[in-house]
Amino acid sequence: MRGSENIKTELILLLHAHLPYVRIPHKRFPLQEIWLYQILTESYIPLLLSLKELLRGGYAFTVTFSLSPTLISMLDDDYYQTRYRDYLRIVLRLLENLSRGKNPDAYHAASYLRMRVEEVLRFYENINGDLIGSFKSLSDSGVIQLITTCATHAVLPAFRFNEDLIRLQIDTGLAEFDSRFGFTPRGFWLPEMGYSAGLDRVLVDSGIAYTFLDAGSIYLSRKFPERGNFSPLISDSGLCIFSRDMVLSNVIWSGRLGYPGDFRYREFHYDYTYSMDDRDLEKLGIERLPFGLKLFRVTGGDETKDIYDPDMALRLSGDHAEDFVDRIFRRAREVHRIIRHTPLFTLPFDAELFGHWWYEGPDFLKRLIREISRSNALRLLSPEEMIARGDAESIQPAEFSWGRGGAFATWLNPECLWIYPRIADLYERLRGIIAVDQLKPAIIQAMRELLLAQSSDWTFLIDKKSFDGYARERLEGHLDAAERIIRSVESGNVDWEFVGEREQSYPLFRSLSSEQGKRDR
Amino acid sequence: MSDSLLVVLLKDFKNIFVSWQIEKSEWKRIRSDSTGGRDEPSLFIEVFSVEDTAERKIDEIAVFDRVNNWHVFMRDEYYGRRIFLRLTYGTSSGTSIIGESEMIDIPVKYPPDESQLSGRLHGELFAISGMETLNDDSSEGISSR
Repeated sequence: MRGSENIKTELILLLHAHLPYVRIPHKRFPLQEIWLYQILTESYIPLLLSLKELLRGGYAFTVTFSLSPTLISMLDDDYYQTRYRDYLRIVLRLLENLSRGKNPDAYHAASYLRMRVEEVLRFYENINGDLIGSFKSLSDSGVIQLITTCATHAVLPAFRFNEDLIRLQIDTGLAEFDSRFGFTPRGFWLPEMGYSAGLDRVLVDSGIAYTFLDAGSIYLSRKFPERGNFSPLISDSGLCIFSRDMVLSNVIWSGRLGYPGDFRYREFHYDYTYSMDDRDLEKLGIERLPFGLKLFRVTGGDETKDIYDPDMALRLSGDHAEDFVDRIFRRAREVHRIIRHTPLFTLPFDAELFGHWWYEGPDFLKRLIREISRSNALRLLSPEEMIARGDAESIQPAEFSWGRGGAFATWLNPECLWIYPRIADLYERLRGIIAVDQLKPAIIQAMRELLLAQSSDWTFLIDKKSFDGYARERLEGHLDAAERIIRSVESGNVDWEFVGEREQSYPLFRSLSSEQGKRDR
Repeated sequence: MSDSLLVVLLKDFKNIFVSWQIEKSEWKRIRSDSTGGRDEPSLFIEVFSVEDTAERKIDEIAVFDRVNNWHVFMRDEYYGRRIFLRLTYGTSSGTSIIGESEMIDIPVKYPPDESQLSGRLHGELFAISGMETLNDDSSEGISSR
């Protein structure tokens, strides 16, 4: 199906990387920190390795990469670098033990996983743990276009009652990114693609040129563009918008129909650490925790899981990459028939899908990018290249998200609605305080606590009833801390010891100022 | 709405969450203004649609209490419109405003009927948009579903 009959097609591929800020120093391997270490091992580093390999191969493409400010803070912190090395050493020891087992299939799977982890460790040591530098070098080469998002991944429509609070999220996010990368990105990922009226103006005011919205923001809007969501769009305030193509992204994204659910791929859920002998764990001095030893494949239904076969899975990811290119061409013909214009397909994904949830995902992406680069009809472009053409259609987007049913009920779930009036009240009180110099550290820490409370992760986990105890603890902990600090400042009797403790527990957003987020309107 | 709090959030495409917290001193003034201090004031959530610069009231819901949370269920008139909400109280001469929300752009009702789709292209593109998969579950790890 490829060749001259294929319609010229443009693609934007965006990977959004985010994890909530977690720091639990009193434990060697806190479960919530293992999230970061597993995802570094399975997603971020394999994605970097794939992109570097493509760069060396001379392929022409750009992938847009969004890094959240909380993730950036953790990647650039020695605390995590030391702990990550410790984690990798333990995982390698565990895999080494498994490689000595009696089952030859399990031996093969464990040996393969061990080889992959060794590759990750080698890379990490070669760059001296400097992942920020690694992303920056890919950005400098033009292989990735870096963008960022809200300071703590707040779903902004949930904070529409106070524009300063929204600006605080945006400006703090941009400042955190700038402090590590040395430039302010022109693109901005709206967490969960959550859009509400007026956000375009606020983003433009902060220097943002473009963002990404879900298809519902276009198809359910009152003013419909003639090329639908298959072309760049521009809002009344001048914000450029790229809108997700649901059909193509669902092939990767959908739990029901997507590639990652194929029975031959590695299964995500069962961690072999839970089957290991107590003595083996004791020898290593570790508790039984999900260290990420996944030795089975998806298999199917309720059947007993088969052992993972890496050779079969890697062949399959190549087949799926070819299949996806065919689907792009079929989709292009379908869309071109209606719009009579070169179609643009915008494909945004959570970066963690590739590797962590779908283990073969980075390999799939590498092969897909190769296929796209080799095709005369396909181009994988950056948003900036599309903007430069200046033929965006006008849109007034509808309020929408990529959440359940397009709405906001995941984060505004009944168990969490109480937090929004509380945050509104605390923020109003904070803004009512005159920030004389000696009070500023306390005011800034209260702001930091409010920012951390707004993370979409807590309300998401509560809604999903997954780690909801931890999510509640964090949410309530940050709100209580903010209230305690604000009350002490209001009473003129600041508890500096408490402020200092909280600063030490959450050492991020170092450039936060007491004026951040404020605008004269 | 100087010292009081009004939070209005589009929760899903069926209802809007409204939370208010009126300062005690403000509440006293409202009571006095509304009932001469003899009784609780009548509060209303009024919903307005905005077309160009013209406002039109499309809904009114009687509510109560100085501090309360409410869910406003959306009627057909809300869909595909730019709206805002006002919290008001009744006086002998009409209503007075306590607070006002930001503008909310309510999406067209889903699934839209033909009259909501603006022309042939909109209809054809909607048909191939993939919007029918809106409620499908995602692969593991997609944070929002």
